[in-house]
Amino acid sequence: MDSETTYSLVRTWFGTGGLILMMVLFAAVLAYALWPSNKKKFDHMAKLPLEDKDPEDSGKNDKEPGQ
Amino acid sequence: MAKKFTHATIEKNSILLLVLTLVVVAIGGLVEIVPTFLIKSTIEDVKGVRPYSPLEVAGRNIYIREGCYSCHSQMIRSLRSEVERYGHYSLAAESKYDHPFQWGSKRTGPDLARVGGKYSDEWHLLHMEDPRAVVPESVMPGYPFLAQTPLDYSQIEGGLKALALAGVPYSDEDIENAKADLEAQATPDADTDGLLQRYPKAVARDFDGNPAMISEFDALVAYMQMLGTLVDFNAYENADFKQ
Amino acid sequence: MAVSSAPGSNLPGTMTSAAMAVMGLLIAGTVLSIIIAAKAADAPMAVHAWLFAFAFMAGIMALGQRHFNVTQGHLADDGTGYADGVVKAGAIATLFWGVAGFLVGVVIAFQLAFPFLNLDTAFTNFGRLRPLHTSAVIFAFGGNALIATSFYVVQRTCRTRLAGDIAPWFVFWGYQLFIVVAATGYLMGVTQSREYAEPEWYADIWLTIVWVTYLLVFMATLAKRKEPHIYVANWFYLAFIVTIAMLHIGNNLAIPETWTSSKSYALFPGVQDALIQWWYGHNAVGFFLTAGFLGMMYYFVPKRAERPVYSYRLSIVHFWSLIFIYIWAGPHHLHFTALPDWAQTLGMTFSIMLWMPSWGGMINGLMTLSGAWDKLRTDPVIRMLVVSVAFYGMSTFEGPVMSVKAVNSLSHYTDWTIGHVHSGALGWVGFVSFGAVYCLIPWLWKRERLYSLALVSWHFWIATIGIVLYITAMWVSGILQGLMWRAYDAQGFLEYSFAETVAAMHPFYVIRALGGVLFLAGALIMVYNCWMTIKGRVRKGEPLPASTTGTASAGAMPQPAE
Repeated sequence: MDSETTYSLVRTWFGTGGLILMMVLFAAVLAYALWPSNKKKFDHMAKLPLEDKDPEDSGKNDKEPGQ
Repeated sequence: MAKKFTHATIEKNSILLLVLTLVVVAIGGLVEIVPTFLIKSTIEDVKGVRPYSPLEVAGRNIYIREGCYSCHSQMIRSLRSEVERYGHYSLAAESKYDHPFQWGSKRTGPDLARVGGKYSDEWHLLHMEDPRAVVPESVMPGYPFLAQTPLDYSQIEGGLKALALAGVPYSDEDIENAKADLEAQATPDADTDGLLQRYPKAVARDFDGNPAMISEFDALVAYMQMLGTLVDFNAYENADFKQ
Repeated sequence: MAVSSAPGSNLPGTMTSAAMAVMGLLIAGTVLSIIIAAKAADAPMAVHAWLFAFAFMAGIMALGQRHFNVTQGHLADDGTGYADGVVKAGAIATLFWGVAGFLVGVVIAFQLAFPFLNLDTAFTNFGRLRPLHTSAVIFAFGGNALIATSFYVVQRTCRTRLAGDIAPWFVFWGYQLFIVVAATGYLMGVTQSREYAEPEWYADIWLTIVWVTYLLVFMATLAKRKEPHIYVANWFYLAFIVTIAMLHIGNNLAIPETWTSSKSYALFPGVQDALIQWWYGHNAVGFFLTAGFLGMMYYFVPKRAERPVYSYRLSIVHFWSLIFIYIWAGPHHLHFTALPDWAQTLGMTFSIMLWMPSWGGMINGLMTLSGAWDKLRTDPVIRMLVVSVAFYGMSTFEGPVMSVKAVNSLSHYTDWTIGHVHSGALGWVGFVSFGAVYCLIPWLWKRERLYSLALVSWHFWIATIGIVLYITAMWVSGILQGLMWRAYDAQGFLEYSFAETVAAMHPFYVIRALGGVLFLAGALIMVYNCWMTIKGRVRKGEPLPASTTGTASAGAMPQPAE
């Protein structure tokens, strides 16, 4: 097999593989994001930055341990 | 259901998230980069293209050192207006010994891919000394220090060795003769037989008109004067594009 | 934990084994540096080897002092259990390098307008100062902003202290050392000529060590989190860190002349080298200047607006589609070149697709404000954050347009590209970083509020006018020059010489430089404002806006144990 054939084979396969992978990935991500039972989790996650909590592992070394 | 489970796992597991991210960002690069290494015809063989002579390598290093690529491209695109302004569009083969490439991304100044032979050495000397003395509209910095600074070529053998490691076909003989070739190319009336045999079409002369010293200017202009001159495009066109 | 720990927990004379190991490595590094300095093949290498040696010695002394003299200085961690000292240092470094980078930018902008300012010496010409500007702004300013905010955000959203004790500080100081080596290198002419990756091989190796440590700190912090899931901002930060590691290593493969020489040659030739460079170059934009700062957006915009992100679902789709698509877009930098056509087309196609996730992210950021639009009026910090997202939307629309071959044939090699980059860099990266730092300074130093919100407003407007001047000047000059290059006269000859097109640029170069001056002025106002905030001052006679008074404890001062 000359280099030209290898080249076009690799190109075709890489291109096709990349396309399929992209579509599968996108479908999976969409499915995950839109899955109804995930909604509760996402709502919790979305509020995460708004909660100001002390770290749970602050403890022993700190002068003012988290309350 | 299985998918949902997997995804929850991914989101909870930082290592998985890391690996998946890495896989996702690796795909595009692999698809685009790997094939260009596999094909010979990405870089078709073009008659005349040869590795840089030691003086040209040293000059190229100065070109890089001063950041010339910030304002000058070395890549003539296949557009009519560019070909008419700068000459034949750049071939991949013309930069096949370029480590690193110098295609550039901005033309604050003109493209230099075929600047070789367009101006005399004296023009370059004046232009580097004070660009606005020759081109009043120019915004280029002056580089008067280049003609006054002796070229440091103590590492030129190391340079050729590194380039050979990267795949440039420098022979042991080329590397052995690096210093001698460099000096011969910048010295008037030197014996240049070996140089020209190793580097056909190399232009050997005293570029800065100061025979007392091999200056950085000598190296830089030796490099610039050969840019784009290696391929004989009349022959190339006849052979490859019988249109 | 020397700095934050209670006195007594570190007995003088005892060192943790980790500290001992780091000490050993620093000593080895010092010895190696001195050997290289002694054998250096060229002057820049000698200078840099000594710089490394002194930096390592300073590290040894700092380690020693840390254990024998536990002090609570300005940068000391607070008592909340979060490691915020390094975040404070990062915030200050962001401001410092920001001003430095903008200043060099203004200098080189004036050099293009008035070339005598190059002074015609080796150290002051445009060619050497230009990478100084780009690196200072992207890596020093942007990089420090990313490191500081990522360390802050990952701790808050994981409700855990930063992993490691010395490691985060090593990341911080190691990164500053890289910046100084890179910057001094440019001035001495040490460069690989790879745009946005100019530092030579030894600086690249050093950055690799620092960056892998950064990745490890971030991963270890994620691993010990007290929240069940990983907040989406951390996904973006993680993608930024790991992809930059991949790109940095891939793009900097080079063979040095000798191991004591500052000069190296790229491993790959011509076409492949160009493709790899723009695979790197474009994704430095995609992952350093986009993904990283999106992480910032996904934390600071909701936090400052005091409302959750508009759609968490959208943020997930945004993340995966962005990181997948971005990596393909690099070849659009090489249209009509000797790169094979299929690669150019692929790059263009993905660049256009990229428009969708980018705008998904923009909508997500902007709509977070929905129902609280009045904050745009009352809080100049949120205004800055929101306008940054708007600029993100604008430049991610412009980018795909410019990647279309027909447009690119005109825009490439011209100032249009420069304008495009700066609408992203000044508008998006600059403003989102300013907004984040304006948030962080009072939070970190436990101030009730910023010294002056009026000054933030001044900063905002001055900088915005600066950006508008900058990008409009570059649009006009870019399109004008592109058209002049391809203009034909009645006889069918090219109408303009190159020199004529350069002369036509002059007025726009002056306007651009003035825009830069305004942007720099805004940054100086910010430095003053932050400095006074850290000192604990509040500007006299400045009324507290209703929204910040009412919610000061929640919005401006989240951590103290109240």
